[in-house]
Amino acid sequence: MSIKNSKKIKVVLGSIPIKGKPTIIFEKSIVNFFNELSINIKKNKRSMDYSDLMTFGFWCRKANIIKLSENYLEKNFMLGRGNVLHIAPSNVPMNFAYSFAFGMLSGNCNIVRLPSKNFKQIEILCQIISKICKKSKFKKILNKFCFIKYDKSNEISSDLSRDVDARLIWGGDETIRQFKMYKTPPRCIDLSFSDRYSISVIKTSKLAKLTNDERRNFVRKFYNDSYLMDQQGCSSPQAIIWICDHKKEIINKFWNILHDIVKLNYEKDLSITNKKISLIAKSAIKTNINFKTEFKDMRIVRLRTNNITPEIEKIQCHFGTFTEINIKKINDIKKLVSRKFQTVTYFGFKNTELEKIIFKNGITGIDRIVPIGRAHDIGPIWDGYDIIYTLARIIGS
Amino acid sequence: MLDYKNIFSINPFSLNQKEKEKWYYNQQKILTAYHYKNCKEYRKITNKIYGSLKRSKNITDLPFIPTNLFKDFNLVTDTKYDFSKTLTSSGTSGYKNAKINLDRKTSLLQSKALSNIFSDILNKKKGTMFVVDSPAVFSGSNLLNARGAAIKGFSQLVDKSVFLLDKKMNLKINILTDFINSNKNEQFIIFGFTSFIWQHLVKKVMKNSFKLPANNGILIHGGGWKKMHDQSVNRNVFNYNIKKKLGIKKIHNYYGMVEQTGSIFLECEHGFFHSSIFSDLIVRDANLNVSPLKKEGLLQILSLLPLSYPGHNILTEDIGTLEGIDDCRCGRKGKYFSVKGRVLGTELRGCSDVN
Repeated sequence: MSIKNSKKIKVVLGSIPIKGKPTIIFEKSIVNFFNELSINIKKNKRSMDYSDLMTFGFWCRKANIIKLSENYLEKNFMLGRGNVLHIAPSNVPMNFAYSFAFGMLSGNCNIVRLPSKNFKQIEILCQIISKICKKSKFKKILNKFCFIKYDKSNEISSDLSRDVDARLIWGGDETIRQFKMYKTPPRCIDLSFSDRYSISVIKTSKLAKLTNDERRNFVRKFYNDSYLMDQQGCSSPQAIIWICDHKKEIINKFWNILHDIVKLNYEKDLSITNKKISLIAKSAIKTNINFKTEFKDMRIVRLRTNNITPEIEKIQCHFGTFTEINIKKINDIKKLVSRKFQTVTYFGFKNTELEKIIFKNGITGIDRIVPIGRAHDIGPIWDGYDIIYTLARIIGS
Repeated sequence: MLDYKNIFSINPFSLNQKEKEKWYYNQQKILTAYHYKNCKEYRKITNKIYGSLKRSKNITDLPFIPTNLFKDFNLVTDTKYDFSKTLTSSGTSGYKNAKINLDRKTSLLQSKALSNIFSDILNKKKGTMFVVDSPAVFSGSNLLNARGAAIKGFSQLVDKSVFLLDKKMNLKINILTDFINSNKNEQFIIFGFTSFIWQHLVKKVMKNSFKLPANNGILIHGGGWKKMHDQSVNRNVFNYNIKKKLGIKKIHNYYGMVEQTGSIFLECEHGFFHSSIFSDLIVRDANLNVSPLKKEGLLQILSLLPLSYPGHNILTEDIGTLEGIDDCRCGRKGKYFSVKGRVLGTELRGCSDVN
C-alpha cells in the first residue's frame, strides 16, 4: 500500500503500511488476544467509569467469542479477505472497537480510523491494547492492525481506499457518499452503515399484566435504549407503536414511570431544550403528518399522530422525544415501515410474528428485531449484514 | 392590522409594564393571527406544537419559533408589498446563515423603529456617523448581511456616514481626528460591531499609543461579545479603553438580531438592555416555563415589526436574565435584562457524522 500523505496521518497504535497477512477466521492467537483484552479491561480501574468500555470488555471474552465462532466454523474453509479499512463514526466512542474486532476475528488486517474527538475510553482502551501487544505471545498481533487519526481529508481517505480489500464505512449517509467517490480495487467490498431509524413496538395488554416491579424494570430498559445516547444512536427508538387493544391508561402509566426515571437520571439543560424544540419545529414543517405535541415538562415530549405512513421516519426525535402511534393489529406495522428502518425493539409478542410480516409483505426495512433493552447490543450481524461472514473469503470445494 | 401610526407616536420607553402588557398582548395576537393565516410553515408549527391559535390567555402562551429555523427554511409570510431585500446573518464560518425576507413595509417599519429608539439617546437627528467597517460590506446585490443591514439602518439616523476602514480593513484614523479638530463641540456617532470596534479601532489606537482629543462622540455597538470573551475582553475593559483612548464618554451597546432588525434592545447607562414599545422579552427555563426575575434562561424576544416573515416571536439561542421591571435607575420603563451569551452546544452523539 502506498500512502502519500503518511505524514498527515497520526498513528495511534501499530504501523502503516500493514505488514501482516490474513489468517483463518477465529484464529487461536487472535481469540486469545481478545480474551486477554477482556481480562485487562475488567482489571483496569479507569475502565469502570465507562460503561460502554466495560460492555465491550465483557463482549470480547473468550466464552462469548467461542460461542460466536460456532456459527461459522463448521461450514466452510474461510479466511480473511486481506486489508480492511474501518471508518468509525465520530460520535459513538466504542463503535470502532467492535468494528476492529469483527475485522480481526474474520482473519483480516485492519486499518481503523478512530473518531476525531478525544474520548477518554478510547485512550484507555488503546493503552490496554498497547500493553498487551508488548507481551511476547501477542507481539505479532501488532502487525495486523493500525489505529490512525487524521483531520478530514479527501486525499488521505482516497489514498487509504485505493488498495484495500474491504471497507467498513460507519458515520452515516454523508460519510458514505464521500467514501463512495474514491477509487477502490474492483473486488473491494464495502459495508456501508447509513442513517437509520428505529422504533419500539409494545403490546399494551401484555404491559398491563406486569407487576409494578416488573413494569418499572421494563421501563428502565426502555430508558436505557432511548436516553443513553441522547436518543441519537441509529438503534435508539424514535417512535413507540402501541398495539393497543383495549385500555389506554396503561400507556399513561408507562410515561409516568419513564418520567420518574428521566427526572432522576437524565441531565437536561438549556441547550438540549433549544435543540429539542427546534427539531420538533423542523419536523412540523418538513412532514405532512399531523401530530400533536404533548409535554408536561421538556423531559419527555410526545408527538402523537393517527397518520400511519412511512413518512414517520421524517419526524426526527432526539433527546427524549417520541412519535406515538396506536395500531390495532401488529400487521398494521407494514404500513409504516420504510427502507430506513433498522431496529425494532419489541415487547408483548414473539419476534417471529414480526418476521412473518416482513417475509409475507417483502418489506425492505427492519434489519433487527430485539427485545426492549437490547437496542444497542452490537454484534457481527448489523444493518442486515453478517459482518464477519462478509469480511471472510470462502474457499469453495 | 396594527395601528403603527399610533405605535410610533408613543415614546418607546415611557410605558410601564402594566400599561403596556395588555395592549402589547393584543397587538401580538393580531400579528400572530396574521402570520398564521399567511405563512404556511408558521401555521404548521402552530398546529402541531401548540394545538391551535385560540388557547392563549396571555402573551406567554402565544406560539413562538426557534431562531435556527431561519437557517433551514426560507420562511415567508405572504405580503402585498414588494420584497425589497434579503438579510442574512453574519454567521460564523461552518454554520448555516439565517435568511430573512423583507418587504418594503417591514423594512420601513424597521428603520422608523430604530430611529425612535435612538432618539432617546441622540438629542438631535443630524450629524455625522463614523462606521467602523469597510465599504466592502455592501456587495451591491439585494442580499444584505447583518452587518450591512445594521449600518444601513443606522445611517438613516444621521446626515452623513463615513467608513473608517478601507477595503483591506486598514484604519483611516485621520478622518476622525480631522473631524474632531475642526468641529470641537459637535456630537457625532461611532458605530460598528463590537468585535470590529475592538479589533480595528481600539486595538490599533492602543498599539500606536495614540489618543483621540476630548470630544462629543457617542459610541454605539452591537453584535455580541463572543469574539471578545475569547480574547478575555469584557464590558468593563471595553468601555474603559474606549473612554481612555478614544475620549468618548457615552457608550451604548445594543442587543438585537437579524431576525428582528429595528426593534433592538438598547443598553442604558447602567448596563442593562431595555425592551421598547416595539419589543418584549420572556425568559424561559429548560422546561420552557417562564423563569422568574433574576433567574437565567433562554431568551424569547418579541417584536411588532416583522410582517413579511414570521419573526415576531422567536426563541433565541441566547441565555440571559430578566433583571427587573419598571425600576431601572436610568428611568426607562418596562422590562430590562442582561445577556450572558450563547447556549453552549452539547456534545452530539449518535451514529451519523453530520449533525
